[in-house]
Amino acid sequence: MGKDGAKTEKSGLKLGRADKTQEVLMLLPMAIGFALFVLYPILWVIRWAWFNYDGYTTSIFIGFENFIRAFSRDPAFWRSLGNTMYIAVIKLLIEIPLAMILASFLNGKIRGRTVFRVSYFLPSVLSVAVVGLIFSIMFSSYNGIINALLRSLGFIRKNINFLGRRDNAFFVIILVSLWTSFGLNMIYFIMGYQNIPKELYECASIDGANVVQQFIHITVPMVAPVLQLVIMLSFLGTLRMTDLILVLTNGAPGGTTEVVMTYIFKYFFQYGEAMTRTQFGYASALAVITAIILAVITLIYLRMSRKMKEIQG
Amino acid sequence: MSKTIHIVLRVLLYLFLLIMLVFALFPVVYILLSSFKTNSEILVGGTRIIPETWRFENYAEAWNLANFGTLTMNSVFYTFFIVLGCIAAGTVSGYVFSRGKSLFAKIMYRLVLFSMFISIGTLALYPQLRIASVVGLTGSLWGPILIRVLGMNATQVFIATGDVDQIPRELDEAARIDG
Repeated sequence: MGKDGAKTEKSGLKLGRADKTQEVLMLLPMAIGFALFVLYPILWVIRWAWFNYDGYTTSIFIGFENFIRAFSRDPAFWRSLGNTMYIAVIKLLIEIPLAMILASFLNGKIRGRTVFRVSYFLPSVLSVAVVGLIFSIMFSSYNGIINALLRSLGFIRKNINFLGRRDNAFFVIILVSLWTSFGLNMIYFIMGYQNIPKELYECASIDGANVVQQFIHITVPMVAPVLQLVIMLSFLGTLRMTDLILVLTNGAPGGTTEVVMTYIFKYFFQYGEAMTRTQFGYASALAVITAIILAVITLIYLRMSRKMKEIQG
Repeated sequence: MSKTIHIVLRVLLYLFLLIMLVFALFPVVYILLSSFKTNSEILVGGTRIIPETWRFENYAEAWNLANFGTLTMNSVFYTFFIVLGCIAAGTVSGYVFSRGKSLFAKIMYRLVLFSMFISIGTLALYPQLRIASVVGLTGSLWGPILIRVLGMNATQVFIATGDVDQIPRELDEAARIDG
């Protein structure tokens, strides 16, 4: 690695001579890797979306059949897509304000702020599968600690079936995904806040603006570029959520908490009930549809939020 | 008067921070303490967070049964090489994307940008496996490492590109003049 680093520097210095060849040579290893491990899989998925293929028998070209099936005969897929959006939007509405407020508290002079920062960040370090396991133990309806605590405090009489009912399960899913990511987003915002010049706040407080006004009129516009990025990363991250759902509810009860990635996953890896054989073709078609929808959402968001990026500039 | 309001606000602020602290740490502490519990205690449930009897043998058992030593070593191995590789790959490609003028660099940049919007999720695993087995990387630790390093993580490439953008070009020129 040390060698690699030195090489980079050196080729950077010599760029004067054979600029273009050197550029190509520098990029080549990455380009090959990119073509093999990113581009090829995408093309692979796009290709098999037009076939009826289970991985063993010969594949049959069926044209638009997979897409027609998805659009006309598969309400479960659209329900899972709806669930994904629902989770992502609710999570975003809670998470972003929470992270921003926490960050503004912990950016100031507060006793023990390092302790708070580290503790809030801690959940982001754990692997998602472990997190899912921890929470499914805690929220277990028969002997989970959350039920036991709520009962002993007198809030409930009977155990709540947290993961077995749709609304409760959504509550848990959103809670858990919030738990895993609010600390990280808080750190992003703290980094954003530190770039805001202190003089702005001084001027504002001389003019008589209180803390809340300062937050709305200085902090929020000044971190707008960070905000734009964090919203996008958080939203896309939630839309791609797979393993948490698989561990936590696995789509139970009856597939009502399925999100789009787990739904595709099940067709692809022959996982879950009622899957007798893998359906690579159909799963690929679903993946293509999802990818297009996500891409459109991202592009619309980037276009709409373009203003946010300019505010600071 | 305004001083009492100030104190009340402070208390509320700390209360809020403490609630969030409990929210963030409770699951971790709970599972940490549960790891010392006996099986029967976990199964019975209840509100006890601190174990009745401390059972440290759980750890020895887990270590031996799950072959934990090897697994940990593998994880450390992966992390080390993936981080090293990603830094190298990220900075090199970031540099070229930021400074490069060749058509090749421009096309690659567009492609990486494009790949960020396309998420096929877990489906990418299968073709990746096929390729890895063709190249003969399956069954060793190097397969996943190479996939992660060469697979051009779009986010890290963009962070590197942005960083290189901030380095003034004059520095390059000065370095070039110096040979």
